[in-house]
Amino acid sequence: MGHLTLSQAWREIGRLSEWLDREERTLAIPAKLAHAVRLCLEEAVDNLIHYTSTTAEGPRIDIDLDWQGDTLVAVVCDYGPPFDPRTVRAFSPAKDLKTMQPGGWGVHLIRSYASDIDYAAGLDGNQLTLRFTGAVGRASLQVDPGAG
Amino acid sequence: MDMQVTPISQDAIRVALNGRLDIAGSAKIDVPFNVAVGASRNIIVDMSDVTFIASIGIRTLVIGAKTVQRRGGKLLLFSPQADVEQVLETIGVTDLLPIVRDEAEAMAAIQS
Repeated sequence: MGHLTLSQAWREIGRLSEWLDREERTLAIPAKLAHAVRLCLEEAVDNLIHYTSTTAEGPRIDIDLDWQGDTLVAVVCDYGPPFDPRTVRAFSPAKDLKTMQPGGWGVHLIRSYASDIDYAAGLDGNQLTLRFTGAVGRASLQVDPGAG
Repeated sequence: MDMQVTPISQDAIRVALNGRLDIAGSAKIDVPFNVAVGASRNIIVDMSDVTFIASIGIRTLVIGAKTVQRRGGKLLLFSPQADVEQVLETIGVTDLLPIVRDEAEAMAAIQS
């Protein structure tokens, strides 16, 4: 199992990338899965650094990555306010550049590239569990064509 | 993430990116990319050596495209790798950031 603890700061993002480079080799993660895991963890950590303020438990993010059988499992723990990415409204693609507001894509990418998502919030922090199988991504991408 | 700018015509430049367009990569090229975008009417972003893109990297491209569009120009993505293209498609930006596969297609798209 690989474990990484990050401070909740932008300067830490390079450590996430280097750690993923090592874990891809150590855990012998196939390229397609490695891409999905990297994308989801980058987006999850980006969101946590961007939106979560420092807490009494410290501005910290813990990440574990390991195989469970044929499934690669990433667990991201933080200690800020709860945020369940499963409850975010369906994504609405932009229709034109002029009115497009860049951003807000991270959760959509996580929901698209992870095979399965669990989330639990408790007194001891928040735990986001992302599972990745050979068939990366969900068959039913939630896109709301009528909105936006 | 590295970036190289090459003029290709009087009103178009090629911006070649190399590496991961992730948080660290975007932070590195944000300022020079914006400078490059402001230097020509049309921008061809050579994505062929970009091995990874995250939402923050797409944000950099979209902001550049919006700037170029305001001046009546176009920003095109040249030959992205399959994984990168899939992320762009997932976000739904390939209609707004058109993808071209070769120089001829790029020049035709600029002149259309």
